[in-house]
Amino acid sequence: MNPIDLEQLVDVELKRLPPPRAPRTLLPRVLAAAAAQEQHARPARGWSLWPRVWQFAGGAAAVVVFFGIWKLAAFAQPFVSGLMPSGGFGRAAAFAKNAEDAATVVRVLWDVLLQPVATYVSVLAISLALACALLWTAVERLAPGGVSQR
Amino acid sequence: MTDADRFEAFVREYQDMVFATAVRLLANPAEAEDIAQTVFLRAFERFSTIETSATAAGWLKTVTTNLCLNHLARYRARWQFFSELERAADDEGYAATVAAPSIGDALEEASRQQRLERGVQALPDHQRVPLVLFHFEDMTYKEIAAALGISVPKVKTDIHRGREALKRAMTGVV
Repeated sequence: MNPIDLEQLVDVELKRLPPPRAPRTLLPRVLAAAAAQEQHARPARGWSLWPRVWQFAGGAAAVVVFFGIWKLAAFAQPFVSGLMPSGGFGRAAAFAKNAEDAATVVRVLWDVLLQPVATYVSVLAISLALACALLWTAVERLAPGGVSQR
Repeated sequence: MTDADRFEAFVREYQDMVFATAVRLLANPAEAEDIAQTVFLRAFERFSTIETSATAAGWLKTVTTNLCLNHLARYRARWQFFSELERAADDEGYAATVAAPSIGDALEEASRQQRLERGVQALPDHQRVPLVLFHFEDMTYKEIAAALGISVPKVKTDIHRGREALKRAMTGVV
């Protein structure tokens, strides 16, 4: 059989073949995958991407909530301290006072001892560094053959 | 009708066409199903434009063909050994996906078609792929050569050898 006849014969026979059908599992697979993809493709939108009106509303709501909590805490403090056992608040108050005392001591030490000399120490350190640099440069220029490389 | 409903209808309409193209190129129903799923997910990404397009079927066929060729080039060589081992089991699955002949069809015709179908599956990749592209996808030798990255004479030789093998399969001559 010559190639042209063979081509026609095979073409006719292949075109007569019933087309393969998709398996029943394909459709549910595709739909599930598409649903999952859609879920992933929807990114969480940050506050900066919200519509302008929503941004203002969100900001106002945050301010209101913040002040509400602050006022509520100030308003509730006497009641809460009255209800709480005195030991707990007493210890907390003592700890706060000790911390404040320690901070005061550190501040006084800094003001009295360190701050007056800090400026002089800084100036002295910078001067010494400059002197060393100048000396090194002078030695490099004046020494015959330059500075020893050993 | 929601977007999901329209997409489902779209998949129902084209799933046989996409799967047929993939399974004939790959001769492996499981891989063909994976490819078909990928094709429809690509369609889903641009469903708003494809849905109403008159060239949706052509687009699907092109994407299916390209994905199958990529798949063959990328994975088949690596898994060739295992694929051949599992070939017998896959053949059963593939035969089950072929539409059953109508009641009036002669037994001989059914048998002949089955032999031909098995003959197509039994062809090596380098003969089956160009043969399927030529006879089922109506691509020219030149287009096939460009798609496969081989010369036109090589395409002609491979297709001719494939046809001879199919003729032997049809007539039952080994």
